[in-house]
Amino acid sequence: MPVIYVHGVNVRKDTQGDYERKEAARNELLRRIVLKPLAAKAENPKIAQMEIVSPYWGGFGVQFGWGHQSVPATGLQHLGPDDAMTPQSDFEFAVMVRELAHAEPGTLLQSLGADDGDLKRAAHRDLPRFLEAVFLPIILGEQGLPMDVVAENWTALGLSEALLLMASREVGQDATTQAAVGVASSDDEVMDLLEERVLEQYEVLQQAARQAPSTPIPGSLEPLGSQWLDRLREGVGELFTRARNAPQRAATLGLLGAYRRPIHENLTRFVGDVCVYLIQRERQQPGLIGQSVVDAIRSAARRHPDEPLIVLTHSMGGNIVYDVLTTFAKEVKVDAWVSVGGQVGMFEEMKIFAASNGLLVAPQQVRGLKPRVRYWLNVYDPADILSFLVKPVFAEADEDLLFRTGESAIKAHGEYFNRPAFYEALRDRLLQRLP
Amino acid sequence: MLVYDNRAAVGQNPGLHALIVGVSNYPRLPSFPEKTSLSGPPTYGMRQLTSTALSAYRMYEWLLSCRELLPVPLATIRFLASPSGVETEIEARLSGFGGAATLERFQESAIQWRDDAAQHPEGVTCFYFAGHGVERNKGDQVLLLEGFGSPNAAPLFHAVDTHTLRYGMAPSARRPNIARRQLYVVDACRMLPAEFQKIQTPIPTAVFDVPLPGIDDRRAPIFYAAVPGARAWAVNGEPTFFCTALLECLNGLGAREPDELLGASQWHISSHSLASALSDSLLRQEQRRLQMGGHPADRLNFQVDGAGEDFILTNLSGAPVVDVDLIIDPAGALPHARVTVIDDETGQPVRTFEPPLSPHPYRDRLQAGMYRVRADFAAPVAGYRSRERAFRLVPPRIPPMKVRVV
Repeated sequence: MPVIYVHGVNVRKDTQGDYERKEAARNELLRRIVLKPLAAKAENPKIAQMEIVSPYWGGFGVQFGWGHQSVPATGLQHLGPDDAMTPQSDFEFAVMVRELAHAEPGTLLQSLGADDGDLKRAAHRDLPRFLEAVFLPIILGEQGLPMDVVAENWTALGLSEALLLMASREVGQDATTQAAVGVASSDDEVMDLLEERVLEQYEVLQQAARQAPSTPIPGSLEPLGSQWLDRLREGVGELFTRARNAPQRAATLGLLGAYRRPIHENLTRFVGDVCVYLIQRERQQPGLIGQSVVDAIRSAARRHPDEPLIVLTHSMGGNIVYDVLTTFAKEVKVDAWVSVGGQVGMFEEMKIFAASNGLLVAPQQVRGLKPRVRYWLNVYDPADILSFLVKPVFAEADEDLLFRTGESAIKAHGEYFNRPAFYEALRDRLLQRLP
Repeated sequence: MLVYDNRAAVGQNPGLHALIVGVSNYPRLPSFPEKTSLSGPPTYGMRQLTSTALSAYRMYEWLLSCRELLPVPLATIRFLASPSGVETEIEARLSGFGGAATLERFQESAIQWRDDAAQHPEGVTCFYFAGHGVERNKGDQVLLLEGFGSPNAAPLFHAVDTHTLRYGMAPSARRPNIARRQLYVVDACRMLPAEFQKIQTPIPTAVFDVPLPGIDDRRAPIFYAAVPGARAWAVNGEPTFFCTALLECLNGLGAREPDELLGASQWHISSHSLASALSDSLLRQEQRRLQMGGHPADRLNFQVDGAGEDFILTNLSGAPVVDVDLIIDPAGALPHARVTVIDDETGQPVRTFEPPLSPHPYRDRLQAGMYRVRADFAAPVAGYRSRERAFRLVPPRIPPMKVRVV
């Protein structure tokens, strides 16, 4: 059973290894959280090892001749050293702490003592969410693990990050840890405890990964030994230290200054990639971008002719796959299509797809995907301004699943695939719908 | 400051001596609901309160109201309060009543209170404090007085600890006749603010010298409104949740039937029955706190240390009145069933309801005790038969009086 992942706009390979690192982390989370349970349900261990194909079409996307120099600068400067720049994660962490630690709305309730200890209170009230926020610098790509942890092996780095995120998730859900947080005496004790527990759980997962690797890693982690673990500990320790100070730091950041440029760049890349795709695509020809996806899907289907097919798309990847399934490769049968943070519904409203029928409007609904697509799950986040519903437009869409990334409108769009909680939601749906 | 003095009448006999303290006004702290400031003198994450002086006053009122029912005559009440403006608007008598809850006045009142308590071993003492509190280590409780937060003093100079307070009241060679029945209630948080964690063992002002070890045969429970490490809660402008629960128990929810072994010839509240009933009463307060947006993780809870043997806190003038639901099962029998509630002791009906019983369930208020409930059918009705059941209505948990007629 192959899984095809079609990425969205604004994805580029560069010398920083970001693409490879994210792909490795995504694949690891997909295998461990989604595919393993599916394999257990089907009593077929091969499912856990099945091929994950990620056709890369970013190379055909828009190029900016002057490297975004036309984006105006705000003139705002951040207060603090450059190495303290985790603006989005600081902001999100501060908001999370404020929401959880001061949950009582209004001003009527008063505590007969100190009203501090916010980190402890927040962690006590929702430990999974709290820990996810601690690891936001990794989830948001604002800070990674120390590079020399894995000797510039991007895949291994992505794998380490995936295991770390899973470890934090498991610790967050652990009842014993939740109880320990509840009786801790201070913020510092809570943070020390969580750091220790996450590292312990990471080592458990890492041992298991060594014994039964789900992702082939070029170059083993083993030879790096205790020095590697020490560096990892330092990296995790740094994340916890940053979190301790994040609320104060967030208060000093000029948010507009921190966000203006990323907003501009992301939007221009989004619009640019969409334009390039549409310019290349003709009514009967997929163009370079579309063709790369058609090839990947056909090839995977050919290699596994008797196996079901799962297609996972992000953002623009969903629009491309919709064109592929409805126009350019109509013979392909898909067992489950999960479109995440996508605009398929909006594109059909605008009649942009190759198969769009301009006369088909409300109150009618679009049909034609079934039975070739057995199950279509669309995942959206209201905070993600680039994600849209499909059920109001497509009669055969099975579900619009709301998944709150907890991020701002600026960041939400790119942050589904970095969160173990997202894969857990996916797993629960697929366990219900796949045989 | 002495606000009630009956010592002349009590004479050499045992009496009850109370010290009641409520601190809401902490001039060095930001006002409620203002947020604490990160700059300026440390405020330890605390704000002024608007509920605790009022709580102290309600405790004073309760003590006065039941002075004829106490196990020994009420001899003295010393009352210190630093109220907020919100509280004096709600309770005008609180304005200028007693004395301000400063360290100096607290020490002065406490010493006088102990001197009075040392007159008779059969005496009773009562201590109530409501205000900000901190806990430096497990089992500890520090009470913050009006001057807390002063930049010109050590952090806990304007604060006292319950250890020297309670153990300073223990029997000793100098005070062999001190009252052996002592009730302590502390309505405050038991957390250590982050700012204090940077200080090596912050030291509060001692209330008394603690006598050297010896036999301490007091019954001296101390009721805490929070478990160690947790918060106590209140609503702006109302008595604290714990005070509300405490008064509900003292007014009847904690009532026990006459008990010869305890020397109780009438319905009464004892130290043990109070502890037992507080759980139920706080549960109701917790529901209210949650409805007001409180978080489940901050659940209201309490703790009693040093309970020892039981003793009577107050008697009641009669059996307490309790709420009870009257239910006929199945409800289909309601149009036909005549319902009678009979006092089991006298055999006399106290309530009679002609059919149909309405509303259903019927919420009634009855004096605690034994009752029988009869459901009769004047004419035979297929499927139903007349039934009678006995019920024991004794606080704090009152079961519904449910009669099944099939």
